[in-house]
Amino acid sequence: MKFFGAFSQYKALSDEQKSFISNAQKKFVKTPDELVKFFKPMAVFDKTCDEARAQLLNYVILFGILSFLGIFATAALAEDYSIIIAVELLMVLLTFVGIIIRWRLGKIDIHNNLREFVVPVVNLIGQDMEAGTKVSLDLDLRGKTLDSKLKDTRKDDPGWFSYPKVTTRIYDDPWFKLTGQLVDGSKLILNVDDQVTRLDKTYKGSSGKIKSKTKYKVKHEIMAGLALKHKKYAVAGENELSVLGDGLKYKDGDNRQLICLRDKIKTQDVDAHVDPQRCLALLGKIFMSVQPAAEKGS
Amino acid sequence: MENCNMKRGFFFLRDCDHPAHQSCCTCGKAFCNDHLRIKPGSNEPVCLDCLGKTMQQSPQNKANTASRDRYNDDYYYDDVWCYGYRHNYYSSYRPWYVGHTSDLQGSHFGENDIRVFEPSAEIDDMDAEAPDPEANVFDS
Repeated sequence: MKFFGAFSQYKALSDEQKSFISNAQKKFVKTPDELVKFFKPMAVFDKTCDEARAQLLNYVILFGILSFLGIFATAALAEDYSIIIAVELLMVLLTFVGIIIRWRLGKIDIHNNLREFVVPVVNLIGQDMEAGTKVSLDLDLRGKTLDSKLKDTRKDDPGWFSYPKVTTRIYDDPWFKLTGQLVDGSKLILNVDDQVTRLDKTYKGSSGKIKSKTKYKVKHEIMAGLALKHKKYAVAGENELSVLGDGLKYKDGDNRQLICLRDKIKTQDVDAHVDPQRCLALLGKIFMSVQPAAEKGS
Repeated sequence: MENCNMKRGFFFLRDCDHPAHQSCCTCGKAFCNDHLRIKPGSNEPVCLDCLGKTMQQSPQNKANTASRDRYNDDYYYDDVWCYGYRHNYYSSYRPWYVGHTSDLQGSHFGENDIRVFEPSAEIDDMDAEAPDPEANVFDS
């Protein structure tokens, strides 16, 4: 029974961690070490919570089927009426208990991006920072389809009793923003912005029945930027940077050259997490395209 | 006393200044306590590089989380993941090395695996201030 473990892990969290889970939005200015220490128990809890919810769903389905079969058993085995009724009631009770526990766990569940993206990325960025250097992290894991994140609504309604009717809602969810300074003095910017399109379609089926369905299209846009010091890195020209392909933006300043790269991932799962490796690959590409300050031209 | 043999960092490799305490049961090199973990199932010290590699060699199938369960979440949400990940990452990336190439002797890295900064470009103006995300990145 994994839900016992999930509840005990939740109980062991500090008030600040519980508060973060319920608000799911916060701006941090801490060292990567402090952040990982803060997030790690929540990541472990979230994983157990997801496993417990999956396990409970199986139990609810099982007990639900047994309750349904119990109705027929009651009718067929009328002689052992009392035992069958007791077992039937137990199955119904277990089904409801399972549904309630699962719902309670769902209330304290946090988006998988925390454990699958935020923790690995913060941990890895921390490897390349001086001890004690703080990062600024702006997190918003409240959900992608909140009213406050709704940017546009379009309705395609052909009129009364005419189909299909389509409502398109577009949400913008910039949920991750990290800035910091790496060990070489470069300034780092990492942003993840999710754009969610929700399509609600009401249409007439082939049998003439009115049906509705909802579809999601999610676009994760990852932006990685590095402001590289002229003292450390030679200014990269258009030719050198062209290998970085689409999604490149660069700008040269007095002390630094800013190089930004974007990557887009499309999915139809609104709960899908972003792969941290896609984000780290962008940083790697930028670092591979530049040369040390004194080496260029030599 | 011998220094820790670990090259720490991901995009930038640096020497670890801490004194070594124990040897890794897999590679036999000496490491400090920060770069050692207990090997699951054997109770022996193993370095982050060796443990990370073992984790990365497990199946990458996302649906199969058994490999992660095997090593406990403590390892996945710990530095071990970074060390394991960099092992694969360096097949297409050459990390910067902040130090002298002579110090690479005895490490997993050769001169061809890394890139170095010119000595004149040493880090000289580090500041540990909390970054201001609103500030212009060209400011300093």
